[in-house]
Amino acid sequence: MKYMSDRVDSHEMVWRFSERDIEFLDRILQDLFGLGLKLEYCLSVLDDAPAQARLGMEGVVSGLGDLAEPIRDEIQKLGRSRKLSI
Amino acid sequence: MPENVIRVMLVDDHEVVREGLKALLNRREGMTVVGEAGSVAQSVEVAVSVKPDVVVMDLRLPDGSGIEACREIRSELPGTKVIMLTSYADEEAVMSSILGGAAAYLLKQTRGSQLAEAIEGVARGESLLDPAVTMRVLEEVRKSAAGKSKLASPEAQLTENEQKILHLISEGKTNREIAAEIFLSDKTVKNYVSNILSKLNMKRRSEAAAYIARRTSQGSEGSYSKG
Repeated sequence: MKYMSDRVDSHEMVWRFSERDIEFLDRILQDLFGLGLKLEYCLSVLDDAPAQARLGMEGVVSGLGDLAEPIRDEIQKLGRSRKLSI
Repeated sequence: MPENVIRVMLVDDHEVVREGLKALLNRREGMTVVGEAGSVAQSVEVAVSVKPDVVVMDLRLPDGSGIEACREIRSELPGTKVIMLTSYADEEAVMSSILGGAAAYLLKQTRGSQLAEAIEGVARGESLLDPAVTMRVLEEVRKSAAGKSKLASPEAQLTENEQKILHLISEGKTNREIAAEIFLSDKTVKNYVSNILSKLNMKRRSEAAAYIARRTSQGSEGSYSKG
């Protein structure tokens, strides 16, 4: 478990990052990099092959949707644990 | 395939990254992706079979580190160049990559077109460091220069974390105990241990422990810190 602290409104907040949290954030980062590359490819073929570019962009949109899902789940989990701690 | 086409191999456990890189690099004139892998073991196997000119290697792989894979590929195929492509500008990783024979160290914030240019440069025999990591490397080099006498001992080539882990090995601790003490996963510690043994040119951890015991009895323990 890794710890980071910060002061929010003069209260010390301690954030705990487990290996799982780091893995999760790393996966998001990797997916974003991969989707960025795909988009870059779509832009590079936009003039020569617009249909192919469009298809690729649709893939990127769908990839972003897939990426949003685990983030949403994580936020919901955090929200639940916060309610429990109150 | 024309002779001057650069044959590239991609090593990354994230399929979406491999797909993006493959699409971009295959579109580039004079470049083709000839192989892919998602783990250290697979990367060595595929590299030996396809003999690429350049390998684009992720640093973190499920069964070990890309540095280990780089070292193995370079020992099997000395003519193959390896580019480390990672999300983190960690100075230990940069130094280990350079010592492991990597020709370039780039961050996953580089655009695909810049990566393609880097591949071309490396294939021509150039070396390249991402501007974001250059500063860190220069600092490490300055530190090494300042402590030149330390370079005489074999453990001077170990990073700070590796030295810490070596000390814990010499205390007879298991990977699990070491992992708990320094807040890392068992897998990460295992990778560190294999890097340490490789750098010290040893096969077993007992040899490393005996080595430290010898150094301690000779009164030279001060050359590394437990920290």
